[in-house]
Amino acid sequence: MGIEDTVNTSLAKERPRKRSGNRGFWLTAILSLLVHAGIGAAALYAQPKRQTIDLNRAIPVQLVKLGKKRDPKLLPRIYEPPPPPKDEGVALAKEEKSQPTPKDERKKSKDELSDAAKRMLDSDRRLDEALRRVTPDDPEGDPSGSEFGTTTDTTNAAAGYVAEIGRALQSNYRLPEAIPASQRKFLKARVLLYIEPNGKIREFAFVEEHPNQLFMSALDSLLKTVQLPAPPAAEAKRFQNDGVEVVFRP
Amino acid sequence: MQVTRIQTPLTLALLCTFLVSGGAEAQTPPGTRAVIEIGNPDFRPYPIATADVRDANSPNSVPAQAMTKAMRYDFEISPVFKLLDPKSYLANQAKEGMTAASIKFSDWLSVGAEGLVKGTIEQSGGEMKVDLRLFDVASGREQLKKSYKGPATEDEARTIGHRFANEVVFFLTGTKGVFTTRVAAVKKTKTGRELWTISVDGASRSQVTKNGSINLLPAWSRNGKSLLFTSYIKHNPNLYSVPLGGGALKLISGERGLNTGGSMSPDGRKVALTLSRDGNSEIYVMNADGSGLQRLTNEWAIDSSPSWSPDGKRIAFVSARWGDPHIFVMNSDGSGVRRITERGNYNQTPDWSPRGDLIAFTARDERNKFDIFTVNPDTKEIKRLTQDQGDNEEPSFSPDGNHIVFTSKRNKKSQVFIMATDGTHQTQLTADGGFSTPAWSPYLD
Amino acid sequence: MSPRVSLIRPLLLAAALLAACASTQTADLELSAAEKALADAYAAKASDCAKATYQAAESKLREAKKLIAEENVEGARAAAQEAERLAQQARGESPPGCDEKEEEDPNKDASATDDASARLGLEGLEHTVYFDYNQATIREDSKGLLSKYAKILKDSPSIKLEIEGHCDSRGSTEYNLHLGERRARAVEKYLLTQGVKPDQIDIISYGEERPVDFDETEEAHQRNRRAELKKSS
Repeated sequence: MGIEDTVNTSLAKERPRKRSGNRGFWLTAILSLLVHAGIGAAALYAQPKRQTIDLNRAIPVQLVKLGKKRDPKLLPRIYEPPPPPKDEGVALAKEEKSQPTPKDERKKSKDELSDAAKRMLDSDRRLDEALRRVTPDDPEGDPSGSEFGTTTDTTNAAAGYVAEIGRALQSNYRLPEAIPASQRKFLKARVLLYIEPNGKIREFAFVEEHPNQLFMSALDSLLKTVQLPAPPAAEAKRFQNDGVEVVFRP
Repeated sequence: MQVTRIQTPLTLALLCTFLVSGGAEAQTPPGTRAVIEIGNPDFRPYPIATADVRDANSPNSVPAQAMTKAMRYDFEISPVFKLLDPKSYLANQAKEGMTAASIKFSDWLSVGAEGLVKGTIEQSGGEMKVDLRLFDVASGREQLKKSYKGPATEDEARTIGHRFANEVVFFLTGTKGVFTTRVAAVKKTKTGRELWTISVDGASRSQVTKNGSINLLPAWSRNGKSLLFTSYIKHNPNLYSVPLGGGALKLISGERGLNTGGSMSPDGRKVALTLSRDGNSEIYVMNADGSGLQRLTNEWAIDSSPSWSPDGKRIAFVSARWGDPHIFVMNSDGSGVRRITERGNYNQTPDWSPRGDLIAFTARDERNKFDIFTVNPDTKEIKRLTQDQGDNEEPSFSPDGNHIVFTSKRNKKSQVFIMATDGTHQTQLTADGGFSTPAWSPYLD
Repeated sequence: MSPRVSLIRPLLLAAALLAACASTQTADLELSAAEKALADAYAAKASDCAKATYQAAESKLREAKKLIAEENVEGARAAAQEAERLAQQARGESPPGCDEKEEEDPNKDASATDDASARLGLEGLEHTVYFDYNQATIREDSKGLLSKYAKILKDSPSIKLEIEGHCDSRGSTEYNLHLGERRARAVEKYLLTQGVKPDQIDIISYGEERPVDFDETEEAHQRNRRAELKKSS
């Protein structure tokens, strides 16, 4: 019996549009939860009958990231503004030094104020800061949460471990910007990983390479530096001898 | 992407439903090893180290320093690279040679470099011979080697540095670097406005007009040899062309009223412009020599600021026909007008990316601040590039579409800035202020 | 401010209102005829020389508009016709030069018909009108001044004006050039509707390139959003 989860596939296609955080986002989130529940139910149903559910087992659930809706007629805002420009470009003419910056002025005038006035200013500033902290600029929610919300199914220890490998590789899957846009969609490599019981990668071997050297050397350094957790003891042998196959793709 | 396949028997199956943002996929045929798919790579800038260029006669001569500085600047402003901080370099640069065999790559590897640029200068009799190379640090291989000759001046050294940086970009990405291109801009004077061109590193400038009148809205000819602009030199604001090597102004359009926003078609054969000769501001197209004028728009409101798509088939422009100024796109014969910006209420100065997928524009937001945005003309998706740093206006794309030049009043006076097309790498090119309407040149060499 | 200025305002406002509902009513013809007769009467100084009749005409016109608002088209028509008749009568009661004895307002020199004194009149006049943000419509507070210009230009057909349109520093260079031209053109149109000949007026826009105030304050922006009327040689 094979179940192909087509609902999830169609969701994936719609993802880019949903990032703007509109009503469709909620639709996706709800559908996603339903689908996950469905998969979970299917998995449980298919388990051998004698297996019991361990109520003490923790089920990690990440929070769904929430955000305040922005009027779609308004221009978008950046929530993480780019860092301010570097002061020095090449051969920039020097700015006139005599001009005091506004910040200096404020400091100076503050020094001349009475203590009471300073206290008032300080409390004003604190209020400002407090207000700034709650300005609706930042989307609310758990910063470590996934934009789509996740659940992790740990009904099977090996499955959980494979998922952990996947996460570790995924979060370190960085490629040089220098790879031309025209080649990016054709990048593909397959590699076998053999993992020691302590989680160290004992060996890796490419079974399919890509001619782009920037791509291959990025994978090389990824596999040399990535930290994997130790596999579950019962499965350690399998991961050491059979290994896992990883396909890197665009 | 997020396909999850569940194989039976489930006791053997590796069930994987994690939906991390990248999206990985696992599947295990019964009894075999698990397969994990990792997709959606996070593209990161290429970490590159640039050793001090060494002058055989005096290690830190003026040309050597200028060349090093020029290349480091180029890698610094480029979104494709991450220039590693020269202070962190561990290698003994004084001892290290120029050949792969003489370089201790482990020193460069340990500071995180994937690419390494090295160079030497040999001066004799006011001339210099320059040798510049790019190495792949991981494999310890030489990837690129170029030799240059020229007068041993600071200017020449800078130019050579930029030319090699162009080569490095081309080698790694297949797209030409833009470090020897220039930006045309208007600068305020006591009596009016004059045109200047500025190198991308801000280090060299040259004045194009000196007529004391008001000269505005420079646009490059496609061969980079002249500028189209509007001037009040004969009182009526006419459209002229001026050769950059020096030479007489040529009248392109002298219709009564405004002759503004001249913009040359990608094939160089046509000029789109805005005229008010018929009593209202409308967009017209004519041949590059000024003949064959043809009107494209016909609206009671202002239509202005035409910008060609790179294939020459479409023109983006500003129209206030629906009340507020917005960015519109039409076919280059005036048909198929479509509004592109559906957000904001004061959108102006469209500039179509040479890659075709984006139009950069200036918009005023709900806080009455002007900032730079891009919009995809097909999906109408809008992205913001600047924010919370004064007013930022008048974007123009670099010929590779990787950078945007604009003006910013973040330091009070209006200065020329460049940034990457994603809004990062913002760098100031001018310090004396009074600049407006920058326009990035095409490739000049 | 002269009494004339305060009188013409409601009239022009009314004209604007009229234009606004022109497409929905059938008393349009009568109303615009009354409007024109009143404007003519005003131009002939009837508001000073035949005050009572002129004011009666005005109030009839107001009544006509009120009736339109109440959707009484028939009544509005009749009132408008009466307003027109009164305005023509007022005009008849105002022979040329009937207001010459009033000397206290220096701007009134403008009523003299020879070029020399007309020039004097121009020089005595404020030469700037202001605009709202991103707008090119003549503001009510500018109309009095522009009417004075119209009078002088009509009286002295050899005088030529160049109208410069300007903008504040916000917005793009090119858009502001075109917005500035719309401002200059709005002034031109206003003068033409007052009977000035087209060949007496030239327009040019300087966009945001020639500010009178270099600050970035709201006040400075307002001072820069303007059209300047300059005598051209």
